[in-house]
Amino acid sequence: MERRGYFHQKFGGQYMPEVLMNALSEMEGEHQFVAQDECFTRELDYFCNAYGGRKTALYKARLLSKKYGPDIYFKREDLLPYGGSSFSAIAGQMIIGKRIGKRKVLIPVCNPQHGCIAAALAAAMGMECEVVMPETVARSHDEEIMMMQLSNALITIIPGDFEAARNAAEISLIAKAPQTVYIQTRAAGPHPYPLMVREYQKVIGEELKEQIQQMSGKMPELIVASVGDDAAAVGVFSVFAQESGVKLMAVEREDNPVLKCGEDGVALGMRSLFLQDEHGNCLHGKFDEDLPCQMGAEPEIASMIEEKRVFSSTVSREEAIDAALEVAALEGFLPGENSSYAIAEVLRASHNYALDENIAVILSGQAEKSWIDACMRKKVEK
Amino acid sequence: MNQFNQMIKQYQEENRKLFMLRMEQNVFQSAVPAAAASILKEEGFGAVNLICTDSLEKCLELAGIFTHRLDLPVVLETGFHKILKYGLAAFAKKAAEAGISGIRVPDLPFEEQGQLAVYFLEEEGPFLIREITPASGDRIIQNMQFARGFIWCSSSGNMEFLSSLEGDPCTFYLYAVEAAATLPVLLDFNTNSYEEVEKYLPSADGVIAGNNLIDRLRREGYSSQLLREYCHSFNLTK
Repeated sequence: MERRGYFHQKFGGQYMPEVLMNALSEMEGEHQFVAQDECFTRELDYFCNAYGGRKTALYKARLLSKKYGPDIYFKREDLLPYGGSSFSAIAGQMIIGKRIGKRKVLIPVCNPQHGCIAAALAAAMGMECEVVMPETVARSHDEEIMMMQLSNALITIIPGDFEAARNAAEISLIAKAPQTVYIQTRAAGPHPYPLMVREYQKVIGEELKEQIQQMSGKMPELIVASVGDDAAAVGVFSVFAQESGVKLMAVEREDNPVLKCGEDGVALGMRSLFLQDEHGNCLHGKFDEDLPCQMGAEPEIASMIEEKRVFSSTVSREEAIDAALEVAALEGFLPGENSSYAIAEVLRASHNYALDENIAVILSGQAEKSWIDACMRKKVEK
Repeated sequence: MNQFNQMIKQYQEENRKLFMLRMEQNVFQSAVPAAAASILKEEGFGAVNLICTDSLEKCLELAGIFTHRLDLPVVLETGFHKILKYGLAAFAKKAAEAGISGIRVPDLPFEEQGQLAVYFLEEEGPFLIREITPASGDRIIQNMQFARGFIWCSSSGNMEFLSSLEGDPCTFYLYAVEAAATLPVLLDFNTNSYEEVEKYLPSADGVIAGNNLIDRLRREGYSSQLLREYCHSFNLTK
């Protein structure tokens, strides 16, 4: 029998201080209850469809496919408001919070787009919102911060990295737990968050399954999604996990190779794979100062990697920029940074696939200013 | 019998309250453990809660000095990640050898304790501590089931649900704890002085002090004078 909150008996769990355990069990209870509740589904659909604009398009990149061989499809999650593929996960958690009487939303973010989604949804649901972000991120994202403030969100800026912001949010939650719902933007953290986020993100995989069968008449041979910053990958992989003919590929950045080099550990309230130093301390990779990354792997992805159901690959920033430029030149839009890593992997692997085979890539997140600048610099250099 | 259990039994027989000092490992590493221990004993502190801030190996060695050489019961506190990396069975063996009385793993709620508790079943050996907080609510009873040693009764968390009652919410919280407790209860109420905690003492068997001292030592650096002043401010020897 599966241990409660674990994926394949090993990753997941609830490694949290006693003081927050009741808040978690409240969320867990309501999450189980709403699985059978049509009112919840309707409300979630309302926010995802009418407010968020689901379903998102599945776009066949014709010129890219022509150049590289197999048919390449883009699942355009970047078309959601603020380009956030975690839109449904954030909406789902907020509705649950609202149902159990929480009036306030607390969300630590290292990607300001998630903060914008939370602020917008909280305003639309009549809840207060507090976005906690590290100083390094806040410094370079004035526009996003203004957008959040216009939605009446309270922005708390914490000196240090994302871990400092996450710790500050957790301390704040201890005092405010009865009124506050804590939001996770990826399928990580203590049970029931990985399960909850996965369930609400499944909509991406379900849409993809339906759309690709309609467009090409068959399942894709390969699905590629980047991991680390949002929960798109887990939502897709969990839907396609039973489809044995579909290869699933999780792409991570070369400077944060959690799935490739991570070791078993406990942090952030869960047991999962973490990059660790020689003393066994959990680390998080660093890309650049303005864009810190989250620590550890999502437990479900980590368990799928162990089972060899999902494969992982790493891509360098240079390769990602080249891939983004290729898409911009051939398809006319610049993919976001995270998505570019996945596209780079597709371009790299495309020669292994025949002309009539399909590859689906999940695009999540819009291109930020720093990413546009980096791509522009590379284009000028060329 | 476990060193801590012996101590608390003796205190209960003498109708005294046990004061345990919470202290980080790196403070004791930079100080002389023997000198620090003598201050604690002179000032009436009966046990040490040693928080692992560095290597678990070093912390276990330090704990051994307190328990075997200085005859002061030790409750070791560490995150579960460190124990996992050390190896659960190896940690349990080393902890028993070091004479540690109790293990507190703050990020290991009772739902997850089973994986570690199987190594701590010896009556004479260390026990795994169960914690309760005002936010525990219905979990108070569950938390106390099959607990050993003592109950760590913390005041952290929101007491809003008790604020509708007239009076001090902490008192109502302690009523619930006292009614359910089958083991000695030690209060971790962020205590700065004896007076602050005095009114709650009838409902408890002891107090865990030192949170504020840790903050001060972090700011001002270790000094035995500061440790003595802090311990002396509790006036336990009067």
